Amino acid sequence: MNETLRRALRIPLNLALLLLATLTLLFFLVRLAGDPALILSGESSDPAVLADIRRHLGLDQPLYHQYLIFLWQAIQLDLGASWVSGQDALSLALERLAPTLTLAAAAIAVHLSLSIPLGAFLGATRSSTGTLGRVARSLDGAILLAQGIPGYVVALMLIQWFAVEWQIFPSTGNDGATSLVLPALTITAFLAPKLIRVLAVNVQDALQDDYTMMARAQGAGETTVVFRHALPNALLGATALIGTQIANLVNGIIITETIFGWPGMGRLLLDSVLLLDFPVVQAVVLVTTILVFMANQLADYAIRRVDPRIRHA
Amino acid sequence: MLRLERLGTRHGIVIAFWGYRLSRSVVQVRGIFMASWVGLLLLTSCDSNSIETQRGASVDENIIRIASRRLPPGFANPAAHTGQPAVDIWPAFFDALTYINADGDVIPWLATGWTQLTDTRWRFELRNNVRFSNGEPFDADAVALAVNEILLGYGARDLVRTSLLPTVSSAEIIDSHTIDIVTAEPDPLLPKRLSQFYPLPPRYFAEVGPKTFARKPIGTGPFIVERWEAGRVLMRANRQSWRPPAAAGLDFIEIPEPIARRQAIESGQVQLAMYLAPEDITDLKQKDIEIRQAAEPRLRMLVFVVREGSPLASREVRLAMNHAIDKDSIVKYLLSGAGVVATQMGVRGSEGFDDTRQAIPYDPQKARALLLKAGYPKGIDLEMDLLVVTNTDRAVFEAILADLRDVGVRVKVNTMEFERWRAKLLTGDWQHDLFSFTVALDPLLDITKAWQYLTCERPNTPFCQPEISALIDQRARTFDLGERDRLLQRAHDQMMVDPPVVLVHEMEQITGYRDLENLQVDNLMIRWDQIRKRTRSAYE
Repeated sequence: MNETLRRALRIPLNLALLLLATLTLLFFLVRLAGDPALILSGESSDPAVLADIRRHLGLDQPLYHQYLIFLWQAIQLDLGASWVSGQDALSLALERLAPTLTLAAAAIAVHLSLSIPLGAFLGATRSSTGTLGRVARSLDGAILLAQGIPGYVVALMLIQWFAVEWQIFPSTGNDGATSLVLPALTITAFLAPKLIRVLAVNVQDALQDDYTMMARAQGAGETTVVFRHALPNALLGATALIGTQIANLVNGIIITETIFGWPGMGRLLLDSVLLLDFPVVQAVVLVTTILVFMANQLADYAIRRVDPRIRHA
Repeated sequence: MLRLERLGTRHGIVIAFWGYRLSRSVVQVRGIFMASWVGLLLLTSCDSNSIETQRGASVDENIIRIASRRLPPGFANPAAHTGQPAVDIWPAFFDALTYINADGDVIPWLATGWTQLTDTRWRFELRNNVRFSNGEPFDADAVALAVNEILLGYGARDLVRTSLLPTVSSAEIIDSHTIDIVTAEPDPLLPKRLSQFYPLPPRYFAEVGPKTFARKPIGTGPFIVERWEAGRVLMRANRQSWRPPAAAGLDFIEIPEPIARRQAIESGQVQLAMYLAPEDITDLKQKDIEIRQAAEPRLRMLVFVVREGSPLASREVRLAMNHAIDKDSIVKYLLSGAGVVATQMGVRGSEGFDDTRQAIPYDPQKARALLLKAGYPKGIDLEMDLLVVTNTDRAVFEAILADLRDVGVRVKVNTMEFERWRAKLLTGDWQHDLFSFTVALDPLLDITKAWQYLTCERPNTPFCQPEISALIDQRARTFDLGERDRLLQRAHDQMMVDPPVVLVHEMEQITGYRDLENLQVDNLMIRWDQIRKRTRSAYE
């Protein structure tokens, strides 16, 4: 069996193990959060009512029994119905998937479009003595500062400027392309500084290497040296970071969706946790786990593609 | 004005192309780059429904966009919710049998009148010539179906049954527009409770069942739900409704963050923003946003958990803490006037509320003297479980703690998240001396909701005062309104001299609006049938 086939076969096995571990951990963790019967019964704390609700939800069964039933149903992709709305939990999660993926794709596009050129520019110019060097160093300081600003604050500042003051972009809901701009910029704001700084250092190092000196000696212009020779090598080191950032995007998306009223999975997760709606929490986490796993696989694939040393190792 | 929302699929293709061209210069990551741009293009293309809807909404001048704090998680499942957030949106398409107006009075709605036949049997006369928005007639069958399904059928374990109408045992149709509702035990509040109980259209409900009904509800109200999406509900006018609306449609958008709701109304993206924060009032008024403050049936208090040997067992200590807090300043400065000082265990409009009753006055000297008299010359140390949800909550509690510290009551605070706090409230499992409590008296403006956590019958009650408990229990079983009032006033009189809580303030609901007229708010509910747009929004 060749290596590619073996690797391909390992992917579903790894996913299955990851899902088993995640769902098991989640099953026990959410049950530590509280008693859903207390939420569902409202202000009634009548023990008979509470017992009836627990019996109806299967919460009166021993924990291992609940766990086995849950696992068996999860294998059949049946995560049950929401305890609050009665709707199918997995359908509720999948209904929110498209807006979340839209936002994630927009954020990644904006993030990479800004970070890569900016990182290359900073790496190429931060040590120069002229005006460009001063601009680059100022930008460097600003990016360092931006890295410390919480995403929540960035979001509110963007809304205030672009929606309230200048009225260029909407700040609420999912009304198509323009609604994406501010949430995508918010996510970019907490992803970009790190990537820009890593790229800048990598480009700066690459520009000191022999192959870039050789390119210059062969008469290549500085732009060509930076973008055709230094940047591709600098990106080797940054690809792993990009992969991690994509996988961790879910953290930023929860906050962003809440502030911008974006109807994605992050908000559904937050609401379901507050209501102790276990089936929906489990469905959202299941979908998110698969997404993160896929993002990691893509990042691995990208690293193998761009780095011949890993590809041929 | 730049109108980027006019971007369509064609523009998307051009953007994606240039994005890809740009990515080509960055040779090694073009895969990720291209995938993200193409993915974005595909997903925004698939998302064209909401773009079209938005265009439609902005073209029609009389569609009102509303920034809502939260849409009901149970959608329009009439068994799943009472109070907020359902009352924010459901009355736009559902009607109940009764209605509670701004004065707290229960008035006819789909029921034109009612009579109590026996302690446990009530007869309701139903409104004639009312139809559901799908054309089905509203009659006794619709009410009977709601009782059989929402209370005794699929919703038997849901909130409306367990929390609002636990006593209803059956419905008996007398004729097409008369129905008897029977309760298992006497319930003087039944007409009030029915203000949150919505009849079902029999034919449609039988056809679609409860799950589909929750996503595609049919009611007799002024609007028809066109689409219930994640985070958004679109409605169009129901011109055949018995209370036809002035607006052509409503477009509810869920915006959980109060600052974002404020920014949405400031920028003109919505014409109405619900539940704004008190600190925004002055600023928004200066920006020509109109503000409507309406009584919100919520009462903020600190509840004493009294155990043997605790300093709080002393009546003087509890009185001292009531005298120590400057509630007027809290309302004036921290709430920007969006509230009133609490004088009793009820809110304006609730049954038995006494307008003449005065709050325990702010008097730090007297508070210190009372502590001295109780035998605590060096003050006392207490521990409090605190629930903080908003910035306003934080500011109010900081002021309260500072006032208490000034007279010698040092309070150590344990903040906790809502679910833990709520579980403690329902089980009575309090470990410390005090807990913060904002009691919601909606939807019924029911004063007993505040008392129910303090009665001696409640397991693990934080503080059992047998005399007050007996008065409240007696009131709950009394039908005569005058007698109910007298019993309540006696309980309140007792509470003024031997307080089980520190009453702080009543709250107000703050609604911001622009370019709208005829905004009326009754007991949290906006009269959606009356509201209409004044002019086209400048932003649109």
